[in-house]
Amino acid sequence: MTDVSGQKDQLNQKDTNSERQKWLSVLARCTLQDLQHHWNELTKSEADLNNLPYRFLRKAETGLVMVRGRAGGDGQQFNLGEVSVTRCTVCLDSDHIGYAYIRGRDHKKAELVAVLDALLQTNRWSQKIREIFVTPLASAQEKAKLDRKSQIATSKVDFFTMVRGEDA
Amino acid sequence: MYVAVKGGEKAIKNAHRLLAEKRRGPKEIPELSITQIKEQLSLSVSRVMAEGSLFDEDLAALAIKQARGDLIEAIFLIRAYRTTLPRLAYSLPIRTDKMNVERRVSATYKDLPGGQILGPTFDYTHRLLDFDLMEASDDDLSEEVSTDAEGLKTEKTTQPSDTGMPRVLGGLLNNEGLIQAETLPENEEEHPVGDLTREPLEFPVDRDQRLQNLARGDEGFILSLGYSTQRGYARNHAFVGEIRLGTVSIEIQPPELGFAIDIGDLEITECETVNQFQGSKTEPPQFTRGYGLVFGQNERKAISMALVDRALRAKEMGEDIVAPAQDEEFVMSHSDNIQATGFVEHIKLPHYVDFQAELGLVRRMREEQQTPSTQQSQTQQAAE
Repeated sequence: MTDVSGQKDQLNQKDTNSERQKWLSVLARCTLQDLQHHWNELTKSEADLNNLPYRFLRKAETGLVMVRGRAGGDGQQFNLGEVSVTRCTVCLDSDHIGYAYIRGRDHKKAELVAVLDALLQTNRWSQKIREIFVTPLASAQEKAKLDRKSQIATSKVDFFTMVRGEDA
Repeated sequence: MYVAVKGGEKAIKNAHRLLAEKRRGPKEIPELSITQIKEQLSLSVSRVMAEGSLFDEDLAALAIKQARGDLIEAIFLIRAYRTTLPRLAYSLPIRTDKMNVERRVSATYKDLPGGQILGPTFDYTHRLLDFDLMEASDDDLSEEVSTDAEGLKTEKTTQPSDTGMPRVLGGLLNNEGLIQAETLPENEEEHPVGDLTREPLEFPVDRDQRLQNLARGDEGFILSLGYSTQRGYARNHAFVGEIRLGTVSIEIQPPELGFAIDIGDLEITECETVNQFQGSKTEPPQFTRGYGLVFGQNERKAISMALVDRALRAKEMGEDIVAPAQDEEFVMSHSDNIQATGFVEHIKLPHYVDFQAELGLVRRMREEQQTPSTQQSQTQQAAE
């Protein structure tokens, strides 16, 4: 019996992780302006968040991530080059720990993403922040992707091979 | 040998002021903004990111502005900056098969699943100067449907095809076993991936180090070497199997989280070449392949890199090494434009002591030549 419940817990953890992967990916792709705009909207109605207490486990810091590729796309790995990345870790009073790893050098954005990641793990704020941040921002990103795809698709080409003169 | 010099502070300071004035240009002309460089000179930005080996558009644009448009100087600034930052992680290998494609063409297959998408390319332009660009214009390029002078109607958007875009080489050719498959090292997890930013270059090297070196190597150098293979110096009859340009997501697995997270997008150009056959008594003839992968949009570099990658695989393919492009020591030792420019340009710095020594030497040699009798007597004396 204990085994089964243990498995169930693990399963739940896995689900949360994949949810978390989704929101971190959406938040990492937002501009600071977008995030701040939504945050301001949220704090207007939720006074509790205005002076949300949290402490830094790691203040925002910029460093490098070495990006790897694979020969032929699926072969031997190699180091392609670096990308600037900023990370930040915060801890809420409820002991929820929020992480941010974002491409770029924006410390404010990293801090805000870390705070949102922490809040998204709390029962109190999870729903609300999904509604205000994750869902609309995710669909905006998805729409931008599809819009670009349909613009790019106009340059899809059908080549006709011509018979060479000497062969005719 | 270069020697340290003292003094000249005032002159140096003034020279730097003159440089700053030159960079800014006449005050009545508006100053360039970083966003303008980033958005309107994006191919320069791509090159600086690729050869600076640091993907950050803002920093690359800043470097271009500071370097007055000298891209190698800009690359130098980026390389110097990156040394000030800590290395946080290695990414998981990027998935170019999952790219958000901006462009994808193949020179080997006309009809491909997913189609050929030209995207924003200079190909098929007439290379005529567009004098309309002499003046800034706010031409509205946003009309949904437009008709050009020849009556050709073009739309701004169209329904993209639903089919995916399988890789040409791995997906299509490999299905028939007509091309060499990429091989993975045994125990990939434990197999270290060479990193030229961490370990000094020692020959012979493996393909991972070669690809890293080529990816950050000078575009002009790699282009010329690639060209040399086409002209017959290690000819390997390359076709472009596929070129892809687009964005891929960067994933890392921070130890504190224990699962992979996506940290944002990376623009990338990929080129795979199909090269002439190899076979042996035991193996049937098969196409071989070269690979190019570069930060940003730069297919000239990606194609060249694939050509040189293939040439450098000579040893593993059992080919004779007869041309520069096949010689890994030659290629890798000369591909880095920051190393090259550092050594080439340093000879303009004070070499006074060195030169004085040579001056003295040549004077003495001339004296000795002009007075052979003295030389003879000296030699005699020495012998005695």
